[in-house]
Amino acid sequence: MNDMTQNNLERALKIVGTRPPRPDGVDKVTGRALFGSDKSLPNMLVGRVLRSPYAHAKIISIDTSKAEVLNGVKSIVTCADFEDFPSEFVPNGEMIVNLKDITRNIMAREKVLYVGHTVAAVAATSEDIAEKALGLIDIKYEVLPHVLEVEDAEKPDAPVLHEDMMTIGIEPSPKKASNVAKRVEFGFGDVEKGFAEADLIVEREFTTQQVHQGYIEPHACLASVSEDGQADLWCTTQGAFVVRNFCSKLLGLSAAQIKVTASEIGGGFGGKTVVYLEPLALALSRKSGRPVKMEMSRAEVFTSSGPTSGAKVWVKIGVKNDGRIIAGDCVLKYQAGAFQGAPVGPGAMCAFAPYDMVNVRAVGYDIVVNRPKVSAYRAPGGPISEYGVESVLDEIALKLEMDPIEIRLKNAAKEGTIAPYGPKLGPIGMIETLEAAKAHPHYSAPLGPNQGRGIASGFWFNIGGETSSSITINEDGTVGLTLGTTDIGGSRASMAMMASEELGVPMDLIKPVIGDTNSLGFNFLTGGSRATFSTGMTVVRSTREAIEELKKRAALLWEVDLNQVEWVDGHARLIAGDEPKTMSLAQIAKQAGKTGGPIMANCSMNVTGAGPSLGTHIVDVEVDTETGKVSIVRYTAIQDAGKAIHPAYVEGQMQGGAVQGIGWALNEEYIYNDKGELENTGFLDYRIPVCSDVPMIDTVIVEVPNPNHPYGVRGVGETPIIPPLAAISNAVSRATNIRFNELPLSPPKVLAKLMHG
Amino acid sequence: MSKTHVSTCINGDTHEFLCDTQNTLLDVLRHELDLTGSKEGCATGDCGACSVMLDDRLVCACLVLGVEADGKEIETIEGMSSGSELHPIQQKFIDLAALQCGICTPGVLVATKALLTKNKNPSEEEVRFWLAGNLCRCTGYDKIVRAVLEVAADMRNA
Amino acid sequence: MAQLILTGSLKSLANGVAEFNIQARNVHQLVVELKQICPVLAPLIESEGFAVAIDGEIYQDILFAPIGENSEVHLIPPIGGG
Ligand code: FES
Ligand code: FES
Repeated sequence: MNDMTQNNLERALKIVGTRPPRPDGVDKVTGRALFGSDKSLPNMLVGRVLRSPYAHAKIISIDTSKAEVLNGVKSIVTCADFEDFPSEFVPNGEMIVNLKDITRNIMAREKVLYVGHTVAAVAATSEDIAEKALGLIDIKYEVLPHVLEVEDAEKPDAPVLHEDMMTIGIEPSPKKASNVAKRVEFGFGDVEKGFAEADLIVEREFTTQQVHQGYIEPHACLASVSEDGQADLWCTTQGAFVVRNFCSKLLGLSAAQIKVTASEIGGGFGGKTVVYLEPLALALSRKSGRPVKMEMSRAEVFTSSGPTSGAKVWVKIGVKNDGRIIAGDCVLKYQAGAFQGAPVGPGAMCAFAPYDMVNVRAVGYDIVVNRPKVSAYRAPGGPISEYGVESVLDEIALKLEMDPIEIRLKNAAKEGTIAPYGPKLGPIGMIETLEAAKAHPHYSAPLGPNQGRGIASGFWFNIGGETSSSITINEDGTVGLTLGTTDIGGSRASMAMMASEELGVPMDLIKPVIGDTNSLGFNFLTGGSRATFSTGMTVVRSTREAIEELKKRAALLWEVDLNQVEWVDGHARLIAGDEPKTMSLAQIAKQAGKTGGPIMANCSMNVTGAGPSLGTHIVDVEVDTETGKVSIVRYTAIQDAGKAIHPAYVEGQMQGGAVQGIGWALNEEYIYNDKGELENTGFLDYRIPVCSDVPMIDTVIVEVPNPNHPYGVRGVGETPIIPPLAAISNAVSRATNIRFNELPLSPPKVLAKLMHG
Repeated sequence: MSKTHVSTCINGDTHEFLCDTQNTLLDVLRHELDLTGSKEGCATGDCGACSVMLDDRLVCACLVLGVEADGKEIETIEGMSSGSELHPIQQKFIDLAALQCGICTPGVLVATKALLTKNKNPSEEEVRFWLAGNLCRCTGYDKIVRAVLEVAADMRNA
Repeated sequence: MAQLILTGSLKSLANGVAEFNIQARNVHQLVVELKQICPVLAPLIESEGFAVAIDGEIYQDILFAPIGENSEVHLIPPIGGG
């Protein structure tokens, strides 16, 4: 594709594949790195948000007059301060979002739709005053019945969240509003016929609970709008450009009027792809004429920012006696939260994607309920649907007395397989990860009493998208890289490594920085495992352009034709001639002014050619039959990375994803009371895995290069959260000889099943 | 409400500040003294991102009141390196990629230093239980634990 | 001749037709052509955004991705991620 055909897949690499220290390491171990809430401005105000106490209610009136006169209150905003938008779909992160919904999610208009829904925001000279002002805002509500679960929300007599929501994707289209936003279907072949030919059919229903990304840094931002409408926004986000575009729409400012600078980001996992506080802070600042800083509390993060869906999943798989899948069918019902947009589309697309299917169907429903609107969470939708499929497959393997890796190998998708969502797959590493799992000593290690071993695989697409970056050769021979994708897990290191590899100069001469929205063309956010792949592509391309320019300058100085010069190990080298002549990058850079001016290059593109990443995990669990507690005894994550630029950070993604998956499988869940209030709004009760909960997470990086990337990169961040759910559930089922179909596998639930089957 | 005058020693320097009774030490560090290296992940003592040393005791700064710091010695992440030298723990975390986003890192480092002061040769299990109060959502803890074990060995042999 | 292949919901939307022969030589032309050969799909692509897979390679919002003489083209929803 394009001019990236020159690839380095065969070349001996010096930097790529090694483990150098990251460029931002020192700042992060010394406390110097500035995250979302670490910055302040002179004359700054503090912003606070008033949130709905009701899960579903009509807003009758909002009276801010008492709060406005409180000394120290400088501005208050409500829905009256934001323009209303008709339905308009704009792409964002995992999915297309509707502007009408976004404007209502950042600030409730006609109704509040979940406990924690924003209804007003205040900026004041101190936190105390802002809090006091919130208490003085008088809102009259008419409380409406609410609905939390998909099975209730689908019922004909369920309270309807949006009176204008007609289900899309069913024929004939319904005339009556419901909570089902959308139906999607993927697949091919004839599943009924397939099941008729099957020797064994297993059909199961699964439940997963709503879980949160759980980034340790709460949302935070600092906005400053001047009297002439110029806005500066500092915030913790996965995509500064995406924030700019949303805020410019929501506030009626042009893109040129808003400069967004992404702070260092304290975790996102998809949750920092949307706007919550940012438009509020900008509006409060615009109204008060002073900078406004806003931070969410941990409770607000849980009640009001992006969890992912809880879901009901039905899976039916038919196989021949030899284990070959002859038909696969699933129905996925995902909670969207208060506004449509559950990741059920991708969930349905990848449910059966690790396998070579003959007859396959995946149906998904996007269902609104009175919970916070979901946002992307690592491989959005994938863990839930694949959990169902991988669990049924495990049960089938047991029934056929087949090894769980063998049954997967028998059905594994490979290059040329038609994916359940239509197209043919390019080279992928499903078979390779399975073979690596089979060969791993973990797989044949003995198990103790009450222990079980589970296997599961996972598929994620990965994406490219709009990306731009630039490279500057400084006069002293050092190099600057300006990147537009937030560095969430060490991507600055990988970019510097790729530039270093191309240029042939040591990595410590290269300084990568993340640019603000004025310094580069549009960059889609860091998400979908796209940063190292896409930004890497632009970095390689602009670096090669810079090398061409360096060669040109050397040719000028030597007074030879450009084709007489080649680039080797950081030097221009004269090809012909009696004695070898070279000129270092630094020597050329020093004379850049005299040979035509500074040397720099940009690359902007809409990157395509992302390669799916497949993973297989092996887990051993031990079940305490008296308490129902499940302990992870041993864990191995195997994944195809295409090419690991910085293997330590690839391992880190695999380990981090696996442990998030362990949390999802064992403990994490949103717990609501009957008023629709979230009961576990802190880390004490919403228990993410702590250090003593998990063992070392062994990793095996498999490398089946992506032919579309100069170094073969696929992207690794998403896939590792997919296999743990089923792997752990399968392990618990095998340890206890009872099939478990519900997450989380928390002690009370496991114990109940152990006692009552 | 009148403010209380507090004088403390932070990372070896004396600091005086005025503080409302309800302000936490973390508020004071971050907002009054601009020592933003200590992070706030929860403000309820559950995440450990705000870990600091208070008279040689490892505490969550969000659970200590500013006024309680009066007359005490406080050590934060900002005091861990000396001059232009990183502390060996800091260096090890960089070398072994024991951080991803880095928001938990200051707290983890302060807690690790406290552990290694008490116990020069901790087992993996001891490290895991000691750090159980420091949440990290990115790394899965593997590389953190390895870094701690390795730097402990280095420091023993130094 | 290049072919547009529909599966799942898109196939039902198109009244069960699974394959169309198409003249388009890039995505831009495909959008125009769709309005004639299968008008129900056109608004979907324009409003909600769709990606196309051309011979297995996925193109998201890329109007001038070339469609070959004998290419196989699939419409799929845009894919994102966390
Ligand atoms: S902020 Fe103190 S423990 Fe979380
Ligand atoms: S590195 Fe991100 S929370 Fe630990």
